[in-house]
Amino acid sequence: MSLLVIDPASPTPPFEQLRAQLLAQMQAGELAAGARLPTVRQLASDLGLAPGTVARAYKELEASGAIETRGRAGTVVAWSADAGERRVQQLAAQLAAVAREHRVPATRVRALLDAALGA
Amino acid sequence: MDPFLIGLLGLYVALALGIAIWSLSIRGTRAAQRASRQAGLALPEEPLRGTLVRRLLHTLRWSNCGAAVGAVLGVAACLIAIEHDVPLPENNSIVWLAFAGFVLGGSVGAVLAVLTARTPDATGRPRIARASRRELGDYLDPFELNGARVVAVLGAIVAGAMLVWPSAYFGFPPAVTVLLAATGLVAWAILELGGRFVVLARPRIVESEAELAWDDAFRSADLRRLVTAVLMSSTYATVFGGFPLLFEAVNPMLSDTGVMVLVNVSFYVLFGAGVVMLVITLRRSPEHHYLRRLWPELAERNAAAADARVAAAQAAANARAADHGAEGSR
Repeated sequence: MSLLVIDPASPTPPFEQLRAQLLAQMQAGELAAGARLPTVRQLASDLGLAPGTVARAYKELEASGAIETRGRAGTVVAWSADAGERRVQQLAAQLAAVAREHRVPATRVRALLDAALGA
Repeated sequence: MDPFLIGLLGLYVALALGIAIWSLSIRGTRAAQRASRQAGLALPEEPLRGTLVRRLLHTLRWSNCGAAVGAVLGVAACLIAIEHDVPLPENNSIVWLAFAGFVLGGSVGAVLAVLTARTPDATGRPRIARASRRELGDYLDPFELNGARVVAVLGAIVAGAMLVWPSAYFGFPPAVTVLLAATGLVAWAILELGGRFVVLARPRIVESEAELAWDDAFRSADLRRLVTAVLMSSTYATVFGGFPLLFEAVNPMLSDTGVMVLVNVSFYVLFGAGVVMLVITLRRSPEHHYLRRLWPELAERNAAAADARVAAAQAAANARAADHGAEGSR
């Protein structure tokens, strides 16, 4: 049973609480790939939040490839370990393209990446 | 007009009104204890208990008053039809129209109860919601949900067949079957649309897991009220219409004895099927389906507690038997 708890008194903004909990549940397998999430309006009214707050959390999750909108099926979980790797691969290809475009040497790109991973 | 039929209809209205008056006067604690047993959830402490009791009484009153209004309208329709010499069956099966009004009225009342319920304001404490979308299948046992869909379609097919084959009802218009099937279809539409877009979609801010579990219990009970209206209306339509159709279909092919044997065998098969369905339904305990689906830990705890009660009762019975045996041997 996957529940979401939003604490209005928390210093973390509600959209971030929501995003982090949904992502954690996907990573833990509580929300499996293909599971249907509540509509923005439904979740907003259940949690006493503004629809824009829920929409922002969904938008960020969608941008990271964790969820996707499938027309009449609504918003569904797209996250999986493979999906994460595919997304990294996609971003790595983009990184390589940008590096070539700006003539940044491969050694410098690796160093930057190592620094980012180490952060 | 047959005085017996008038008396039967009067009794029906009195019963429906009696149930409505009872629900208006019932004390909240007793209703809550019964709801607690049915839902398989322990009654919480105040202030949540008070909120639950208010919601329970609100739903009970709306659905029972809706059922009473439906029954009165059903009976009024029967009386108007009789008064205007509308051709109806000669027997007292017309009373089923009042029954159809009763179940449909209860169904509409349950939806109205959800629509008129006040959504409590957020108190500033942490709020809880489920991360997955609410579906009818989470709250209704598939046996009931799919059974309702099947009988609604069957009832409509039987009623349609009777309309295009009027002689099937021994020369009388199939008013009861058609109206029961129509009630079943309306109740089905209320289940699919009202269930999805009113009962499931209704927002409710909850602040604890116990409150969320009770909210699920209420949604399940509301939806089961809607499913019962479909099952009852459409099953009766299928049974009432199915026999005359069967009789008419086999009449030219079989001798009188053959027809009687077939009709009798069909009756016993139907009766047996009804008993089997009842046993399956009781064994599946559909009122606890939502617990198994949404609160599996609670369902397991309840099952373990029930097993422990059975084991304790068995041990007590064995101890009593052993005592009696010891006394007998003395």
